[in-house]
Amino acid sequence: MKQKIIYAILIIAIILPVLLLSDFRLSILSKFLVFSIVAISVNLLWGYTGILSLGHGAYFALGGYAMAMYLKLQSQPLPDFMEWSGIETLPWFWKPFQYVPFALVMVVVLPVALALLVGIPLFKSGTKGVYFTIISQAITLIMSILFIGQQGFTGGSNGITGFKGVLGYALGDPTLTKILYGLVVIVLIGIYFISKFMLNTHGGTIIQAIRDRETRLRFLGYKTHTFKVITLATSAAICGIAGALFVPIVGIISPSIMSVLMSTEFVIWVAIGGRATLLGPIVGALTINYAKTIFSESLPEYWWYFYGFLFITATLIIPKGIVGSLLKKKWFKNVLLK
Amino acid sequence: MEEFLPFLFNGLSISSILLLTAIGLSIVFGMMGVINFAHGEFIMIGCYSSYIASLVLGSKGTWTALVLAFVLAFALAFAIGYIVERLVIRKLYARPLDSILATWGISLILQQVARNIFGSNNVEAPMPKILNEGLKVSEGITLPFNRLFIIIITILVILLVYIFMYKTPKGRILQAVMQNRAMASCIGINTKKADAFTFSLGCGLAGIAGICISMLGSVGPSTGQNYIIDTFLVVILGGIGGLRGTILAALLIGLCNPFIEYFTTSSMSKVIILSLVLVVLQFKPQGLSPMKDRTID
Amino acid sequence: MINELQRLLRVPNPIISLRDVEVDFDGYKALNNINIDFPFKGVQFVIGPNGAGKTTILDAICGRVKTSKGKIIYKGASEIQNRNPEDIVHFGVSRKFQNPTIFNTQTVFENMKLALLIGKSNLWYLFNSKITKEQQDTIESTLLKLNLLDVKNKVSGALSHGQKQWLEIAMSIINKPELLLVDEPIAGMSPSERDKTGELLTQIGADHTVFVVEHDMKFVSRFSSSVVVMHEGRIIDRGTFDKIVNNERVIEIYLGRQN
Repeated sequence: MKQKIIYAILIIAIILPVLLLSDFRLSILSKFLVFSIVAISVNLLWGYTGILSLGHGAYFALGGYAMAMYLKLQSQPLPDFMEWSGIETLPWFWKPFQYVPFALVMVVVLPVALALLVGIPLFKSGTKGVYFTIISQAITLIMSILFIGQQGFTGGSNGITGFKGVLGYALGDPTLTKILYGLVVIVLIGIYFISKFMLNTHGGTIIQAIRDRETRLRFLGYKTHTFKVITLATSAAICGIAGALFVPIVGIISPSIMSVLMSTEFVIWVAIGGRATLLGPIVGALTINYAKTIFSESLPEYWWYFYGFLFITATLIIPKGIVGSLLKKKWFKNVLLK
Repeated sequence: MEEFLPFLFNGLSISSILLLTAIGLSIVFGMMGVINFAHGEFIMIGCYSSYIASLVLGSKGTWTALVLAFVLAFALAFAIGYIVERLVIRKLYARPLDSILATWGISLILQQVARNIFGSNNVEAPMPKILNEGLKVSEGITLPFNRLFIIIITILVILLVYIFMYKTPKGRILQAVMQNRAMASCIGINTKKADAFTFSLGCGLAGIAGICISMLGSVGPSTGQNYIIDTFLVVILGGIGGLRGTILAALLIGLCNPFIEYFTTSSMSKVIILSLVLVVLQFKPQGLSPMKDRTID
Repeated sequence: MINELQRLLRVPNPIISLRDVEVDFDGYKALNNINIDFPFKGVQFVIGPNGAGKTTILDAICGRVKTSKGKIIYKGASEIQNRNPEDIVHFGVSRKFQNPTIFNTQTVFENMKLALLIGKSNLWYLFNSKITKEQQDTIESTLLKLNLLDVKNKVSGALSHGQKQWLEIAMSIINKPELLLVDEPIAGMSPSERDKTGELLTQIGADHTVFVVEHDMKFVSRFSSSVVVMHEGRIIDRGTFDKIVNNERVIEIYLGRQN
């Protein structure tokens, strides 16, 4: 019975914004939900496996660029920034992106490929803890320098923008906004339940054991680095999907998404929402982004102070995050789990 | 030889800045296992110190102002570092990943404080005139005095840190804590005090690095951010275990830089160097000069 | 005398042989030219003063430290020196650490499950959340052996020190390793827990090789079939407990200091 009520509330909560919010607000909400997907991917790696990546911006960007390349080619046979850089024919690696299936596959393949490239050597050589964190950040820096430097192929620091439309609708079309909102909600729910299922399997138990005591696991005979690589790749794939959804909603992808600031933001959503909880990342991403919107509309000056304190709060005052702290309360557990 | 001189000098100059910015971070990381993401902002505090000194003593750029700036930078960064350690870092021992997040928060706050006090625009700190000139070695090759000066300062700072860490009783206490915290605590060393001091010292050294950076150009609230990732890489490439690794890493990265840049562009050389560092770490995951021990977990 | 010792260290058809093994910690030789064989079955104890290299021998065998020289040969066929720990486990070598090393946030049963599942060759178990009746029985019978069945649903961090030690032993033996390496199993245990542990090791030793580092002489005298004495990275003597306590050199370097 309770289960049904919760589902009913959930469905209302999903439909209500479509009826109540303006298209502008609905599109912002979609963006926040995309960020929730990013937060889930970060949480999978950090909350459950204990690996902190400050470079998820790169995976997000790769998914985003794959989508943006498709959308750009739909708008112009030769992207305008290529013309500006004096490139007259479409480079070979751009060509297949005019086909939807290829672009959609690349949304996942590119981030996963980077994750494997980074993860296999690093985890195999036993890089862990802060070392991995810093290296992940450096790799994202490398990526962003490369993307900015290759103006003719990537659009440089302006990124890729100026899309005509998506799915036959012009960008900003109210119908499109609603479609995209629906799409994001479906993907979010899908990823939520897939990760919930995965974490309950033996594989899920193993990655959590890596977080708690990797050495023991190795001496039991587990190749822990393989599990870490798989988790990183999964996380990167989810992040790439989020990147791809981000582009049609916002209408641009640029290297600024690969900044240190952005990648740390991903992490703080998880920390505030509640690491190693399923709902935490979603709650965190929505709460903080909503707070950010309010601040930037009324008190932009103070946002950075508030934001800085959030990081300290998340580590010192509520290390379990919002959801983690609530889970300790009986009434919350009763509502949610019984 | 003549052709190599500019490369060598540029390399040394880059190495010296890397070393100056990394040395404080390296000490803090080695001793407390805490990665201080606000290290860049302590560098920024140093940068603004020379600006403050010029406000107080007039904008002529005198040696007195520069000396005052050094004292101010160290004292200010040390003091703010002490407060930060007391309020935040202290509670995060043995939680290195959390310390990254908390110090990142501190970094954001300090940047905003700087923006509120000094404005978002960059400021120029006047330096003694002579520093803007150079030593003419031959036709076409001039070694700027400011860069020479920074190299000298770096050597001095390293010497002082070395003498302090290895030759004074207080430094030996820090060494003891670094090598075996539990044991040091057992023989009556107040490890909390040692931690507070180490963290503040690391921040103070960042302040000094900041002064040197302010000699090279204008500085702003986000100046520290430009140096932070390079600095981290120097520290992890060097490995935990004292000054030797950090010096080695800084020299390696710094000296490679101009040569690689010669063959490519400056942004590509950055990419190549970062990649090289990652490759080296692949073979030496604990860094170039690691401390060996047998602890598990 | 030297030749006599060399003869003692060899056994016919060993499960594992160390040949000229050396472990170097920055110039300090924790193991110096170690040559020894272990027979199939039996409880082999190793004793020696601090810094003798007892734990390092275990570490070298199970891959926790790198050897700088020499070979470790498993069943006369495979060289296992300097391999990854996780690979060595699959030869049939299992390790119990000195301090209880278990997954503190998981229950006793989940700990055992993690230890058991690695034996599976089919990777699809990763996507499964259930275990078979047979696996359930294996876990429960192992837990029963170690008096842990009553606490199987307790979070393992909440166990007593002795119980944690047992849990780790249970995890180490659930996949029936051929060689079990045990580092000071009875540290922090009560007398009755010690007896229980000793009986258990003897019981395991009936079918498998058990290699135990231990300080407690009473315990060694009661449960050892053979004892190796180490000193400063070398092996000094091997034999029954009664034999080695009468070796003058052993008395001098080790037992003498205790009196």
